[in-house]
Amino acid sequence: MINQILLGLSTGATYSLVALGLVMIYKVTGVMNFAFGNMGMFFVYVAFWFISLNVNIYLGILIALILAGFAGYLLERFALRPIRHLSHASMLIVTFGVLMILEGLAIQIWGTDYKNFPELIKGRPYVFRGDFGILVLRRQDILVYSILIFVILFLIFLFKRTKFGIAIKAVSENEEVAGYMGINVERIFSFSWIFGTLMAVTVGILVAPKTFVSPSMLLFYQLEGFTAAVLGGFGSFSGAVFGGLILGVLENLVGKYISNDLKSTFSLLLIIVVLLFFPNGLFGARKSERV
Amino acid sequence: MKKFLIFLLVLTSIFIFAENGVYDDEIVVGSFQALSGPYAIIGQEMTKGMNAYFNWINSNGGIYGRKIKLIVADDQLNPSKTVVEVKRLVEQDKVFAIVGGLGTYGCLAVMDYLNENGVPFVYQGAGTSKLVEPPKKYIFGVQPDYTLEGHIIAKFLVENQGAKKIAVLYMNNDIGIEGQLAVKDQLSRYNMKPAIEISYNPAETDYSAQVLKLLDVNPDHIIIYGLITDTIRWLKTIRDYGLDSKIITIYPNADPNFIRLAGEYSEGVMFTGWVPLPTPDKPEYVKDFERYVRIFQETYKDQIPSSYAAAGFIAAEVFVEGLVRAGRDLTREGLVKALETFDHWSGILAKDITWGPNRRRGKDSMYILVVKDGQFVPLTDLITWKQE
Repeated sequence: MINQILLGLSTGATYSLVALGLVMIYKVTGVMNFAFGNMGMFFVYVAFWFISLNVNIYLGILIALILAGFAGYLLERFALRPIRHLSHASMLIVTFGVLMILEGLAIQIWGTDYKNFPELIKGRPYVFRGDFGILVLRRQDILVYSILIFVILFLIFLFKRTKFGIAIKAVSENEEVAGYMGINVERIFSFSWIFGTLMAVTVGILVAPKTFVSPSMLLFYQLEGFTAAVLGGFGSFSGAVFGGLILGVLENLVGKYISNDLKSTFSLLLIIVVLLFFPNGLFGARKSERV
Repeated sequence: MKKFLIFLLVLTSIFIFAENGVYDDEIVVGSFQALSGPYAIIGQEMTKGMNAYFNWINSNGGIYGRKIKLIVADDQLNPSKTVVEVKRLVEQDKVFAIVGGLGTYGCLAVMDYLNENGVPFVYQGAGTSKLVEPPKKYIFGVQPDYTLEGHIIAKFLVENQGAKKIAVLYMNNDIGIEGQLAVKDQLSRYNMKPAIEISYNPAETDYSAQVLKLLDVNPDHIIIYGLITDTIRWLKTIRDYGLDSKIITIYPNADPNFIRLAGEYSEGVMFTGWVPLPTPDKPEYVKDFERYVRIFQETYKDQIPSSYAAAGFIAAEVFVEGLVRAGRDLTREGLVKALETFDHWSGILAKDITWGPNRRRGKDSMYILVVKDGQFVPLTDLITWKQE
């Protein structure tokens, strides 16, 4: 039981990272980024490509991250911003287009066979045996937790201590008024896309040793991250973090005590239930509007 | 009026007696393959295998003076496209038969249509027993199915390895469930049961929570009914958690890619196999294999054929043998009768294929391979299972 929760937390932490990326983009620009997973996938391929050219693994990942951030910026600046005044639906369609283009490109450049991605941390998991049964902690888990904590601290610092963070909040409340207040709205847009894309690549690199590098490697995580974001209320960062962790633990408990088959069905059912009873998510603030 | 009636009579008699797709100088056959899309690598290779064999036959004079013309439709492994493409092949291109269609769901989607219209369908690139059980007159299966394989795996583990505690890990889809049921069925003949059965979703990427259940049981053998990526994920998880049970998995995984992706984890893993391995201890297989590569390279110069090309090659080989046996006056009924005379027939790569009046499962034997020093080596001779 303890172990199932522990393992659930580590899977959940990856869901949280996906949710954070999705929520950041959604909160600031109002777009649900369907290309999220594939943007991550594409730059994991880039990292893989550098590594296979015998570039140092950390350097390869760093270059991929920088290129990914740049790509996120370009995509927002040149593909989404020009159609911003049309509607959110049209931007949604653009992200769909990007999803398909990236998938096609990846297949064209690297083919469809699976590629091996090196593990950042290798080795047997720590296994503790005692009165409580078997307790397993994998080395990779520690890395995932540390990255999640780092991102959370970064966001707290950003929102509590910097003007830029306050500006992000302002834009997500009301971009028009924020613009009148002298906030550079476009810079905030760019930031949100860069941040989102970086999250996608980070998750991609964390899971690549298990999923292998392939065009559909992040589909599953995108879906779970989306569920986590809905669970936490689409628009709250703390909601995204807790939504992911809760989802990870719940799924494992369902797998253990009800049926392993129903794990994925369960998370989709959860979206519906949450939307029915808590339309703003478990952590979303209720919007009260004056009549 | 009388002239017109005679003309009509002649016309209808031509339609009745002339077989679709059979002409004086050629036989038109169709196939469906994923030539584009994410599975193109499989479909293109399988097509190459068929092309290579048919080209070789054609350049040696064809079958009774008729050349074989192969039309390959691209369905991208999407069953809804398969139905459209196969109807087009049958109704517009008027093919004589369908040879070597790729994809379980696509094959199932067109199975009844072909059978009802009396179009022979020889070799399905699929592993479900629904194609051959119950037997359908025009559907001839070659590749082993997961029911056959499950029985052979269980038989091998109990009779050959003396397994006592067997764990079954299976994907919660058609492949996994069919295999798991077959293993259970075979075990029940020894009054045994799997020590633990775990079904899983192959899209999931983390099996740590489930591997804990295995740790509790500590089985001596683990059967994994998964495809390449999820099987390797299981393999790594099982070994990382310190279990050293012997592992056996299914024939689609017996591919060099498995060893490449799993690395040292693949050492000692067992697989079922059905295409003989050209290893030094089997000189006759080495000779056959070299012949196959020579024929392949007549069409595709300097290319190394993959295991998917071998599948296409076998499909073409079996079909051509059927044509030869059917004789000069080729009809669909004649081909069916001819295929039913196959009795443990072996060609260049196709080995041990048997059909009969009420039998459409082409193979009832497989053998076991093991990875040793990063290479596949045969562990057993052919193991046979017959349905009772």
